[in-house]
Amino acid sequence: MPNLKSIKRKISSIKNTRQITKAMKMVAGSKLKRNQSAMNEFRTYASTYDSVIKNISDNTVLYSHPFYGKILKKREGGNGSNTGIIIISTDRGLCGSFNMNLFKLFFEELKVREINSSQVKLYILGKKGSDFFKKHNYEVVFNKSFSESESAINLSVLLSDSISNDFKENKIENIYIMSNQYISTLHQKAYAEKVLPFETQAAGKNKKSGGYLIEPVDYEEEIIDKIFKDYIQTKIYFKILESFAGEQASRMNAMDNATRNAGKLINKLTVSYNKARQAAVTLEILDIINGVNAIK
Amino acid sequence: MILNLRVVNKKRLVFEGEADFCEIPTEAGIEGIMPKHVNFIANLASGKIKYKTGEKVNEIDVVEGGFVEVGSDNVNILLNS
Repeated sequence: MPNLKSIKRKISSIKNTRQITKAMKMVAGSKLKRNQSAMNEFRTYASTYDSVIKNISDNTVLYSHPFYGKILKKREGGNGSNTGIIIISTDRGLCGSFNMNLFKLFFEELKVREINSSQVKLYILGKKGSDFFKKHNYEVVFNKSFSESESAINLSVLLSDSISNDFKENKIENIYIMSNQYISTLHQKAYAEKVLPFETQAAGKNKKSGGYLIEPVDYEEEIIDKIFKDYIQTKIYFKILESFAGEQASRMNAMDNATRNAGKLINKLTVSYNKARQAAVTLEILDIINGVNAIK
Repeated sequence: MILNLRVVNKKRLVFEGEADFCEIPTEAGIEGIMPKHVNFIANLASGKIKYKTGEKVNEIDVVEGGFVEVGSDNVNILLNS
């Protein structure tokens, strides 16, 4: 028969845990709201930028920019085909399978795209990601956690500078970004996207003629360069915001589940506690009756 | 023929809709854009974006710059504020 005292102790400790998970859920909920609105505010800007870059990519004239793949193939004297992968993970744990899904996607993508793991250069945001990939001996070029840096926007500027420089210097030939896409509060999906080189329309038919007039003409290259760089920064920043919102949503769900499980466990233990207590009472009564009978 | 104008900043969609004509302050001077304008990219200078729909003229302030892309009667303006 289980000990009454030990069950009671167990119940009270689980109650404590439930309180903590409940509080964490509330905190995650309020953070989620803030992050969600930040993400939604920025979404129109990011999507408009996407469509602008797509318009430009449909045009042939700007292909001389190094961010397009064509030039790259011509200077094939580079050092193999290194692939840069940006991973946006989180700083803190206790958010369900949020980070694990990302890491799983990473290994799947390596397999699908036939990328040799020795040719991968990683750009990692978030402590969890850097811990994981350091343990697996990957080459980490860029590594920053969110809590160390003052703001997400500075982080995205730093990262985009670093990748566009590495890309221009031919240290890496492809860049992918892997992060968690925020679909809804209940659903986040790990997602990989190619950042560089820019995709161009292969068939000649769809190309629009005319090209672009860039003013002032003297600074044509600087202007385009800045627009492309800002695009990468915008993209990274949006992914970070999305990941922030997803993290909190995922944490909220995880903590909600934990709270519910704790409740279930408490019910179960309470039932067995009552049973044990009843058994003890019955035993005691039996003892007394036996005692009374013996005296008679 | 009309222009499809879309103005966004980093917080929200400022304006989306049709316009007959618009005037954009760029670094190379104020640019008037009518339908069938040549494809065009420029950085913005501070000033006012004016666009005309029907008889009405509306204005949007440009404070911190940004850039504009014009392609086949679509005008996309991205503001840095």
